[in-house]
Amino acid sequence: MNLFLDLHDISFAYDKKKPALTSISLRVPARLPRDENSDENTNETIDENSGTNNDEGSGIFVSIIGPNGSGKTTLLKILAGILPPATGTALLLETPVTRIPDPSKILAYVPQTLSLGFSLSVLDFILLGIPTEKSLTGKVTGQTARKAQEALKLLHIEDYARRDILKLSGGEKQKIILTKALAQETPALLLDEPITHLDLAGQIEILDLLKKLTKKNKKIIAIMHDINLAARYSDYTIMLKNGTLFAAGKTQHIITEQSIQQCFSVPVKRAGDFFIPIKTQ
Amino acid sequence: MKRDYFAARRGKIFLAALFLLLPLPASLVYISHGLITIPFGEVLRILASGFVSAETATTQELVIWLIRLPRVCAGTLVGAGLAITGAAYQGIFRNRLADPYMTGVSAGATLGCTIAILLGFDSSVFGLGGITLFSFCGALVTSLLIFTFIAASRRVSHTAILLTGISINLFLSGLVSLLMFLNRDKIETIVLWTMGSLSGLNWQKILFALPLLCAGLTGLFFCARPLDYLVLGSDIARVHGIAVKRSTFLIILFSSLVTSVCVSLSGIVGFVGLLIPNIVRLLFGSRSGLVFAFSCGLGALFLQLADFLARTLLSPAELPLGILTSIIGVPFFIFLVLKKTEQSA
Repeated sequence: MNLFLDLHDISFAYDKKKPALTSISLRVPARLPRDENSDENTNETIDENSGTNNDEGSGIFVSIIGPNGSGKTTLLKILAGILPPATGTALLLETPVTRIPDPSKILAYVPQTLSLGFSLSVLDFILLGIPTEKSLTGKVTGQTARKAQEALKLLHIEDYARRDILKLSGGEKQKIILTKALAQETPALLLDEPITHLDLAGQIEILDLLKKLTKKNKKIIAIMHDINLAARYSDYTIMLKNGTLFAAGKTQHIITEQSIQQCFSVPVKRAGDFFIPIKTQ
Repeated sequence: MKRDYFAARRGKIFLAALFLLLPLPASLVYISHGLITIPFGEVLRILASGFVSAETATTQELVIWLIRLPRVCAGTLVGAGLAITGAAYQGIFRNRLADPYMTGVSAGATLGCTIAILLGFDSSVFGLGGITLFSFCGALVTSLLIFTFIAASRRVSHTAILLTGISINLFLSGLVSLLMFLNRDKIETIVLWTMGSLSGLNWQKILFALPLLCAGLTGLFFCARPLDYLVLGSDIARVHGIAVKRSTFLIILFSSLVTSVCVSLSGIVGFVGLLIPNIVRLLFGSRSGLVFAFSCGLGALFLQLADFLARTLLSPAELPLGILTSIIGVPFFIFLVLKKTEQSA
């Protein structure tokens, strides 16, 4: 079976005293077989996919949730091949990402934010993400330009192209980083809190877009802070606590009143589709 | 918009090529003017006829071949070299206040030069090799030191760069002063070095520096693409298949080579590496390949002009070049610091 993630006994530590991740083993399929219990978005998905091949053409949306300092970013960086795990093996789409010379063909990585020392135009930045561009002075072909254009269009921000990244707000910057990742046209997309700096409309827009992309075979893994949005949008959820795997599986089985209470130490109550924190006294 | 963008980019590449050629006609102006003015036609004739020997040459021929031409050549090389290393250091430190002078790399190279002079290396080919080698080691060790320090602190803030650079600069300058104090007989050579000047150059020095400088510049141009990604942070660079450590090291290596060659030619000339790439970025964007090309051209033009002013403003007396570039550079530097603070506030 095709696997999106295949982690075996992953550990990592930034310094010797405190491990950031301990012995995480995990397998996530490249697409989720649809079972009868799945009641999430049932009508919508069937409608949209009835014309196409339902099983072949679909990706997966995986979210990583957990309290601050639980190792979410570290895990994502290991999956992106940025940090080599201290022990264990990590495969992304059956590729050992830390060992291959150029992961950019398989995955696009979206950090939380971008700290730039000096001005760079949005278009220049996005073009850096498109791999065909190779020349001393940065010669660009018409095709790479079209890709950048299309990616900007996906987020409805064509008018950003000429702006200076340094002068963008946090949310705008986040959209640009995502645009660059989309322009890379990789099978996998790794996102570190992609919607944190966005307003409500922006958050929904991005998540809807990502969800739509999973139907076009994109495999997405995103760190999410909002449990309700994670529950609503992701097919699969990885829950971390204190650098260990707390739970992982199909979202509707993982995100429950009980697991949230245990993982985040906050009592919650389910109200319809939402989990609401409740006061204990 | 697409077409505009590519037209603009082609335009920029063309313009960069033009900028790389501009120092050539500019040098004619500087060769013809000075304490005695030689008409352009005469300059061209003298250059075309070549230099035969010092005995048969006229005064004008001597002035051009032995004084002005080597000086203008050196100015061009040093200007291009300092500006491109400025751009490179700014890239790897991801900070626009970095340059060989601010980071103390120039001071490291000067310390190397000073030690070499005190050890008795002179201006023979062997001596020049020794001085350049010591200067290179000084520059390389300093830049590795600063880079490790800043990489270890994980966040590259302006403050960190400035404080590290200034302290290392002061420390190394202190060492140079100490060496000068202990060797008072050789003090004059070294003082000239620490102030930066293009006087007293000969062809031997320039011909020795030229291949080294060309090697360093070529190396840096080949690092332009990895640098484009390194500017975005090591995480993104790694994901794009850039060998982060190797690329960073190569850039530091080539920059140190270029810096040390420049320092051994002209001593410490500050602020060129800061001024030029920043202006280039403001005007032409931040793609490393273009920034490098424009910096080379503009840096050469700037230093030619600065040296011309240095030798003509108080003529017949001469200003040290480094003092002049500092006077021009410091206000701009303060402007950059203020501008940055405004943005982050």
